[in-house]
Amino acid sequence: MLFLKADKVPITKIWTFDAAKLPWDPQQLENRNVGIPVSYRIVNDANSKLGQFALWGGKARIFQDDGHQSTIFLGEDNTNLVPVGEKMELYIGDSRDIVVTQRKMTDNQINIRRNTKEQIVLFDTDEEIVARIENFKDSPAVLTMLQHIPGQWDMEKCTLDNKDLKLGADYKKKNAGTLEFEIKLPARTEKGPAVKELKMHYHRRNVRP
Amino acid sequence: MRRIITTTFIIVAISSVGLAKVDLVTLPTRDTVQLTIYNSADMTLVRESRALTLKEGKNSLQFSWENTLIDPTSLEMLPKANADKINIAELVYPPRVRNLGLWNIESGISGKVPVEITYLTSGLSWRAFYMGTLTKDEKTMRLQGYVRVTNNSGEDYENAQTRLIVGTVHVLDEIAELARRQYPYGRPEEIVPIDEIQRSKSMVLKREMVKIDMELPAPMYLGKPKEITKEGLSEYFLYTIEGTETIPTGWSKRLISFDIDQVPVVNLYKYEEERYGQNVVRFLSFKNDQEHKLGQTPIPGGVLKVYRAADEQGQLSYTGQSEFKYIPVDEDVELNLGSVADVVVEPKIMEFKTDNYRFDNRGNISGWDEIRTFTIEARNTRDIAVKIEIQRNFDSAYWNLEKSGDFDQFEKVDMDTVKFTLNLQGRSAKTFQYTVRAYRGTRQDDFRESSQ
Repeated sequence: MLFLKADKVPITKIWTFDAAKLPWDPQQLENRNVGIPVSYRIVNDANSKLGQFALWGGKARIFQDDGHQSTIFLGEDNTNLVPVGEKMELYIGDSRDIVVTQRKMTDNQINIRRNTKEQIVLFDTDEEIVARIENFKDSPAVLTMLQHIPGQWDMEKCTLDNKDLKLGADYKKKNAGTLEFEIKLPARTEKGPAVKELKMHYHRRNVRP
Repeated sequence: MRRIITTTFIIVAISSVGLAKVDLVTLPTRDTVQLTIYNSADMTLVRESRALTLKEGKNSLQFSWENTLIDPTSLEMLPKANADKINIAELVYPPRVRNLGLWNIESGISGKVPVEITYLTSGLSWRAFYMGTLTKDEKTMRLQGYVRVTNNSGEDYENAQTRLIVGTVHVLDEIAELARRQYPYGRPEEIVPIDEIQRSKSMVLKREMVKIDMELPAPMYLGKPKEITKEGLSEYFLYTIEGTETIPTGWSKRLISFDIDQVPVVNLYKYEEERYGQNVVRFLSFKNDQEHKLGQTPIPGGVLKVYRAADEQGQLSYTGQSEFKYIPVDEDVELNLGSVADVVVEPKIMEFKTDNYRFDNRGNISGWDEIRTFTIEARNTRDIAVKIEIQRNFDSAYWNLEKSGDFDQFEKVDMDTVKFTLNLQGRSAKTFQYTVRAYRGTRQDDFRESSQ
């Protein structure tokens, strides 16, 4: 039975690259694409023409108008109960038109401290990660990129296309070890894919061997 | 065996007193049918239009999906006219009856009402495959792309508009499993017996074998091949095959997707011991862009068989086969055609020594350098020019490298990998050297100081 019908509910499309979950270097994978998970975010509130009651948890199937008086099936996901004012994110499939190639260019021990037997007991690290993001889509996209730095750390320098990024203003600290970047990717042009390069140069502090 | 859905719609013969006011619906055959077939999951969206003859008041329509692979939870019916006067109130699944649903419809009008019925089914699939024919000088290639649609759904689809989806769709359950459920929405912790899973797998296998037997060659005699329109939708690409197709169950149909001549290609060879062993691996490289006469749409993943023009009479020789991934517009393509013997890369260690020993306060060794000098010879025994990428991996991030000799490009790929690129003319060789100094133990302190 149909229990809810709402037209033109605003949605936000989200592409997410989580460096802890997805492979870093697609070139190392033989004949396999790295799909960037794509989700739709829906807020259960009056602005979304919802918000009358909590949305029950269950399977959600999403279709899209194809412009030919028909639809295509985009994907499906399970959702938990969504109280009024809360949001749900439905993972519908993977995008293979956004490609992230992430490599660690430096990983050195610095500030090494040794015991009387000359054994290393504590050190810092000097690490540099470069992530190249290519958008092969003919439409712009905003990629949410999650980067993870375990333990105690200091960001030495963080840049996007060689422009300095500042914590708080340009990227967020989701928790002690997780950084969130929102990378705005223009559409592909005649010259080729839109390319952005994120560099993180950081030190992990007081690491024990 | 012909089992079309029209035969699975049955008029409800209701004799009970309690349901005596429910009017019976005569369901005609479908007017049109549209198939949207996915390749990332065993799933097809079927959309069919029919004209129901309804009477004013309550109507009931029985739907059976016996012998098909329809997911009953996906069934949906929408009136295409007089939508405000027709209320498709509910779809009920009667207890203790398998593969049967009952639509209860309240109609404010009597007469013919066009409706659209959609559902997901499994058993229809499509895949892409390609044929590449290299010119004798291997500078260009004729690239032909095909799609093959296979119907093992248990249902004949006649004159169906056929659309193919390129993309990776997230689905929670296999449609075939949903189709086999006794109760459409299942029961908690329903367990499918293992032997049933194995049986269904073996059935799929048998069907695959049948599919190969029954595959038809491309219908070249039909003259102009059907056009396939390609357009992007969300994260997917939609291929719409011109006109309609009739694909009976158990049959496959192959259609040409594109045919492009003189795609410029690079004969790329790679050497990386850790990945490919001692062999040189051949790749065929090109770009999915306009410069390469491609770039209109992404290229769906599939299998490419590569042939080479062997003589002026058009005889072909088999070069290799590669399975490749989805290629977005403007991305480079590298097709692995397997290891070869006619391009040779020979790395030789010419010198090994240790140096710069450091000792701790007890006189034990605490640090040292390892210095290795390699000579790498690359030989192209073929008549044509080739490009060779030689990747070398180190076991540490503490190293520096000195290089000399005959190579074209050098690149630090990441903290412990470097790449040398060589362009070799036909029947030529190049030799280069590099010396890598690896810093061990406390010598890494000196490395850091020197690199700061």
